[in-house]
Amino acid sequence: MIGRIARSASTLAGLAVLVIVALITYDVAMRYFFNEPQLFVDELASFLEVVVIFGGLAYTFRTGGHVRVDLVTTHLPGRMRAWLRAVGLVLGLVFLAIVMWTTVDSALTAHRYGRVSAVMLYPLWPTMLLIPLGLALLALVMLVALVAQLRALGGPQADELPPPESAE
Amino acid sequence: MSEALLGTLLIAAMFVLFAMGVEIALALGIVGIAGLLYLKGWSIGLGVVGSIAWTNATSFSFVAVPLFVFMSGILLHSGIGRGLYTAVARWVSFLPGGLAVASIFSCAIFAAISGSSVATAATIGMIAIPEMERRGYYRPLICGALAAGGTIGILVPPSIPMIIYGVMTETSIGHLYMAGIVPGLVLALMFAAFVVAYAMLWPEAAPRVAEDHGSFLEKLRSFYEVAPVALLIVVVLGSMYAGIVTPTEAAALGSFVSLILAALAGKLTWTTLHAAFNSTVRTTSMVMLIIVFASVFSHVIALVGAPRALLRTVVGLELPQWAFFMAVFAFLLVIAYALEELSVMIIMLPILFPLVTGLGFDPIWFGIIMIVWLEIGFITPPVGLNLFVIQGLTPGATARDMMLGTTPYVVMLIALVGLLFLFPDLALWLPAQMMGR
Repeated sequence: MIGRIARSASTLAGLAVLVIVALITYDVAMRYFFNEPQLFVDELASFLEVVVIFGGLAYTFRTGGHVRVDLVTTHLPGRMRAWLRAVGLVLGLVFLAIVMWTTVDSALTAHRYGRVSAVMLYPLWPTMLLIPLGLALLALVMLVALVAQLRALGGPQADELPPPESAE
Repeated sequence: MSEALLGTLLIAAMFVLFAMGVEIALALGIVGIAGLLYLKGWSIGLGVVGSIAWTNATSFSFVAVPLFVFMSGILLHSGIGRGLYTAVARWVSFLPGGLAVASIFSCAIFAAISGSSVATAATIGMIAIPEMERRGYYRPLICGALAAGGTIGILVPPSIPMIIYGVMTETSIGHLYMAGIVPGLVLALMFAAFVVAYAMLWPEAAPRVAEDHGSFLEKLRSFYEVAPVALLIVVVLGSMYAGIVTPTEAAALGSFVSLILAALAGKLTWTTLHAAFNSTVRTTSMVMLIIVFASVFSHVIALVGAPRALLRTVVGLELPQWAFFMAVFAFLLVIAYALEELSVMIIMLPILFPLVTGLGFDPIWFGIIMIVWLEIGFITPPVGLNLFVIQGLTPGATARDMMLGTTPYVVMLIALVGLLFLFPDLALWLPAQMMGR
């Protein structure tokens, strides 16, 4: 279930890339051939970049895509590695909770002061809210991983669990 | 607590979290937030996190990152660009070790439309490796040529690491691109010369086959085979240097033309598209999350005045420039063994860049040095990405084959760094011409 949500968000992020390609190509063509630059494109593309980055966070976590250092942990006994992973996930979750809170706060502030983009005067808060939304999805898949990791700790041969999915 | 002590504590905490196996991005963020809370408190300190995340995530220059990964993905999965190797092989197969030389030159040409080292190695490797295996080439020779050849992908423009360096240090990406061209050509020639010498000294490593000598007609056909790649080079690099588009726009145009070429070849399926989506999203999420939280971390490090203090200390040492540079480079080589190199670059730049430029080194020149250093990292264990890719594409290749194959190239890359130090104009001449225009 959670895997499917993460995959859908990632596909959405992929489609956002496709839309960016189309928008910018259109802008360049209009500017070069008709001398009509499409001013909205740069800002819209930047907003879509937020979708690409934060939409893909959870799926990237599920497929083990976020870079980690295993130079030290590979030399530890399995049980200790499993404990360290659990502690790391808890720290990460606390951290994400703080960042979600402060980015929601930023978006609400932007809403309150009616902050808009520089050229097209688009309101900023809806896109700003995508940041905590993507982080929340990441936190959710991390929570699932933490629960699984804690369960595995009870077993006789506890070890760090591999990423739940493989890419492609 | 004194600022120096706090700075040291934060950096130590970062390394502890890295060692525990916490995701690099999250580790940087955890330390950054802890520092902010200590220095500025809950309400004032954290406000900056939102604006740092927003500024980085909506930077138009960074939009080029997913676009170039996407373009590489389409080219890789649709098989466009594979004709390049066959064509180049026809022209250079008369040389000793001709097929390995062709691999290197193909990588160098493909580098002009690819911004990634891994994508370059994978795209050319898929065709070149089976070809060389079939002719009985010595396996380390095969692995070395492709793993190292692929790294030219980030030195010759376009280049994803150059985009990141450019945005983070506010250096012109266009000038960085220009600066990479001559060193890229030097490197390709160095690599090729090495392969030729290798094959001359040890002919059994690269058996020569008579059918390799293509006829004149076949050579003419090679122009047709390279047409898609040539077209893309014109679209991506031509449009940028003609001043028509920005690097980000060039990436979008390149992606658009790649999609059309894939559709014309009947290869634009949902599978192709989905595979390209996958690599694009995973790379972008990973890199950009690190950039966002590394920025939070470096904001805190700047608050405690670490870069300034470091610069003062180093200036106080009164080292000659070469000694300082060697120390920095040796440090980078060592740290690259512990961490993934692109992350190291992102983490180190906010501290290293003010230091290096403060001591009088050129920002563009230092960018090229960082790229060559990344190339070294990509082909050295334990986290050399190109090693994994090429080993995966070469059935039966062992880690030892990879090591044996790539070590000479590591030496050549370090030699290139030496050359760049002695003759900075290798990198700086071309961009100077552009600025003078």
